[in-house]
Amino acid sequence: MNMVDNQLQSPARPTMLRCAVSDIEVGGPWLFWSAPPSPSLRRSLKNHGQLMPVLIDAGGARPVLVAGAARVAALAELGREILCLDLGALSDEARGLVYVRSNAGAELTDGQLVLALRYFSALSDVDMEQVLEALDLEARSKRLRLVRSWLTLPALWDAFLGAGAVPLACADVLEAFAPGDLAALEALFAALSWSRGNAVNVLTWIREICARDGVSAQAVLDGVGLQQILAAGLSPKDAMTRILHETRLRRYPVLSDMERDFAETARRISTGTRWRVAQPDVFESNAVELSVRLTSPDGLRAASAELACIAAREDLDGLFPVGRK
Amino acid sequence: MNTLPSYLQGISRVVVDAAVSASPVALRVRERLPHLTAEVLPEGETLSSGLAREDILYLKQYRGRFLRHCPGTSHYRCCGYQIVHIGENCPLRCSYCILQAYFQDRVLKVWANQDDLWRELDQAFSANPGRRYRVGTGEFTDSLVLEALTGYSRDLIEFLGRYPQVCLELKSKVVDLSWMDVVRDPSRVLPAWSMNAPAIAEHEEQGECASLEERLAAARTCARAGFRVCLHFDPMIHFPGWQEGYARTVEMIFDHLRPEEIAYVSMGSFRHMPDLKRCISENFPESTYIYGEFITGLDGKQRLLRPLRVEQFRFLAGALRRGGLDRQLYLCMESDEVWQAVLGRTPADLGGLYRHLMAQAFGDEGNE
Repeated sequence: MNMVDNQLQSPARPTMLRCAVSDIEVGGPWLFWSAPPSPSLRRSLKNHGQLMPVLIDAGGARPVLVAGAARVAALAELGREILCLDLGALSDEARGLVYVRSNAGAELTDGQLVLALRYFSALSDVDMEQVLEALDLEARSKRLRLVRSWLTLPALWDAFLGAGAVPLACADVLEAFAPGDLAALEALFAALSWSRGNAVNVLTWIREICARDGVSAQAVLDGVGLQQILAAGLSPKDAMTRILHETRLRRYPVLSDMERDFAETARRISTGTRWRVAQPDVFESNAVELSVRLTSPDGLRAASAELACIAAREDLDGLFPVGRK
Repeated sequence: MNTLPSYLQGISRVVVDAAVSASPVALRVRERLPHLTAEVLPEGETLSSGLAREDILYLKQYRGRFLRHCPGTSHYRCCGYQIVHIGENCPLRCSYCILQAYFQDRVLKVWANQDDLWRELDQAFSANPGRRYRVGTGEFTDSLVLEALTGYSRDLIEFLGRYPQVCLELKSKVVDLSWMDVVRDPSRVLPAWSMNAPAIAEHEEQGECASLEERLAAARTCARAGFRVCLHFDPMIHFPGWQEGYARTVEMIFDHLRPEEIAYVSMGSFRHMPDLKRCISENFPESTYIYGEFITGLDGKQRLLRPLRVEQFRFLAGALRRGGLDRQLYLCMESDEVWQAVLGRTPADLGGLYRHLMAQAFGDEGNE
């Protein structure tokens, strides 16, 4: 997007001018979402020229780019002059707001919101209400609460968020980790992209093990065998499944043992039959559920015979682990 | 002010609804907090909700029901006692307290329109004079924590003295025996104290709770005066060293009390709605027992994994049985399966938990 809203800055009358790329200062921190020019932008500029001006602040000694970094980069590659709209002298807050508004239209990702708010939060005397309005963010929304939690993390975590390796939903649990623990956790997200549910679970379990046992996140990850899992050449999906499994084992050791024993028993007694055996309520009752899916009377008769065989077994105690005790 | 117990000395503001500003409770509070000027709220106004202020005492004209059933949940056995609702919140700071998540604010509320309370109780108890009631005030507040200011339990005991079919339980973590001299019949009042392992009482029951020793000494005073007392191990907490801790508390109990002086003892494992865990982790970051092996129970609450809590219950029940208690023991909000595993019987074997505890409360076990 490279739309310009003349209403943005009230006092100055925007002025159009042409500049050489070398004349423009292009590294401002308010260009927080800037990315290299896309092939289509390059093609468009090459074939049709610059149809929209970039936004600059020429109020100082040297023009400063306020919005349009991708176009400037692409035009620089083409060796062309830049068509600029000078908005006059702007504060850092105003530059950020112009940048946000010039990019308005597309739904902002969580990563973009974090980058924007990290910029504005670092400024003093910012009208946050105006910032939130520009970002189309409700002041009391859960999303803003999570972004605020996220901003307590070191800025290097923004890259994990931007890359989709860790979801914003993890902000609360990440915020609770000490800086040293956060550094240890980077290994989880450097090579793997986690779904929201799995990321929240693995981080919550790690944090709770740390709190329960008084150990560091690094110690928990060592116990889980993170480095070995990452080095085992597993697919990302299998690696994450393994990490989740190993972490849960340590967070819920007794329950995990019971589930393993039950699963072994269920497998042993139901192998070769069409029955499924399950414990329905995390061992809160002695109940066991046996289920079968049938499509014909013959299937029903066969399943009945199989059930009779199961019932005649003498190794059923494992199905009722708590009741037996 | 100096005569007030330490757990009440943090009160810095008193607010009273105009309709109850001349009530006996309000007059007593004024007299006992002479350094504070009560703010009177005009008719139709109320204290804004959501205040996280446990230093505000709000004497309120309560318009809801005073006599309620205990909010038990499905799938588990509830003791079935009835609540006499006299107020909300508590100035003590127990990390595990459900009230943190139950109420939106921390304001200490007292229902000062006692005439309405007396009227409702009279209607309930007079409507069916042959029916017995086991009631208590310790569900939404500590029964005695505000007694030094309000004299509420003293009033309630005097009132209930006219209803011999009602047995009142006063459940507390403080020692206040100022109500004893108005009791007509000690068999109709059950002083009760929360019990826990010493480490839990010390670290998780902050805010000037009486020590276990002080609670048991008070229980002994009551027992020697002809009362039977109740003890509540609820919530039992699973923590490293819990065996030694609970064993020590049982020793202390029998150092102070004889089995026949105890009407009943409850055992309940720490359980909570998911919200409480967040409250505890925020308000009491040192409390790590919330990271035990909790699962979602049949009622949707988080509970310790069944084998772990059965192990704890069995251990405690065994120690209490060796001290001479048996039919006084019951489990709070547990399934028949857990009852059977721990006590070797189910509530049905006792004729139903409600009936059994009614009989225990009235001291006529076997006659109910």
